[in-house]
Amino acid sequence: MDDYQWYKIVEGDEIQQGDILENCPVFVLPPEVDLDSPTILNRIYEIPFQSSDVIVISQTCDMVKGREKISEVLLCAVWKKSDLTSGAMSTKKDWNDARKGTMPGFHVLNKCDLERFKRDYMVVDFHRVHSLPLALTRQIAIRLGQRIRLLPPYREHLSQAFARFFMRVGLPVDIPEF
Amino acid sequence: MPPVLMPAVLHETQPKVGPYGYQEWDAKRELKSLITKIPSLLTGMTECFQSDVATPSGKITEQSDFWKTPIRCIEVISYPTTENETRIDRDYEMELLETQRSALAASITPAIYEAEEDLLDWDAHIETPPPPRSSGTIKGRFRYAGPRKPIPLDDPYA
Repeated sequence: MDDYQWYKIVEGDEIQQGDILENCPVFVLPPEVDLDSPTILNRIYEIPFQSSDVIVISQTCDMVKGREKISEVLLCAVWKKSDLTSGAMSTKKDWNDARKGTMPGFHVLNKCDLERFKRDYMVVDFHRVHSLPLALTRQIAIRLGQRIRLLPPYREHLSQAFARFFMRVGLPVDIPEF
Repeated sequence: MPPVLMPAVLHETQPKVGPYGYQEWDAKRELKSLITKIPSLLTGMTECFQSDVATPSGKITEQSDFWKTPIRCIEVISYPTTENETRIDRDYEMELLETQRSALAASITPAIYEAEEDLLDWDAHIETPPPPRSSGTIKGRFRYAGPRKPIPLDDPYA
């Protein structure tokens, strides 16, 4: 059987789907920012940001340098297994359920054994999405130096899982059990 | 001749309100987790009805209707031994204890069917995310840049 690696190490400003950006700043606009206020353009606001591990969800073909088809990159939060000590995804059962795909809001990634990039099992949290301008994301990628990239077919598997979660439809009236 | 003890499923209770799949599954998971956390359930007389669980130290119950999930009730039934019974080294007291223990453990386990194990838990989410590695603020002023325009693309049909 071929050796299908999960990850490889990359660097530079070429962004692809499946790139993991660790300690990436994500901005959270405070709810008190009133975008309709006439004074908004005059005030100086303090905009909070957090450093978070994220994975690129946008399609690679939309981010090709010189042929960009999007201006913002869609990112999802990534949690390491050891980060989650309470609540959902803190038990072995939850990790097994997510691995089997019965928790559609999560997608489990394998651990990474690459030299200098050894990482625990990770979970992509589809409930927490962020977007950053593509140009800024390129700058962040350069600043990070080397990073890990999820490889095919695992990144397509991730993309499919995100699509499955995003396209869910809740029926107001379900068909009763036969 | 001493009787043979056999646990047998008597009946399963029915929920008062038929919750939708994910609610019922969540309730059963919670109930199962709750039961395993209470050792007193495994040491004394235990009675299950709907999803309320009665123990020597009191009744564990939930107000919410969707907690009323089916519980499998099991009773130990004695059967006479057959004439083919030839073992002479049986420890009937130990067998009785083991049977009682296994029946008791089974009787406080919510009936979770294999098919329900495959239900998708759409609502599972992390309520309190781990703290960020670092955080801060940047000071900035908003600037109106006008309405967004689509990125011009090559016409693939041209």
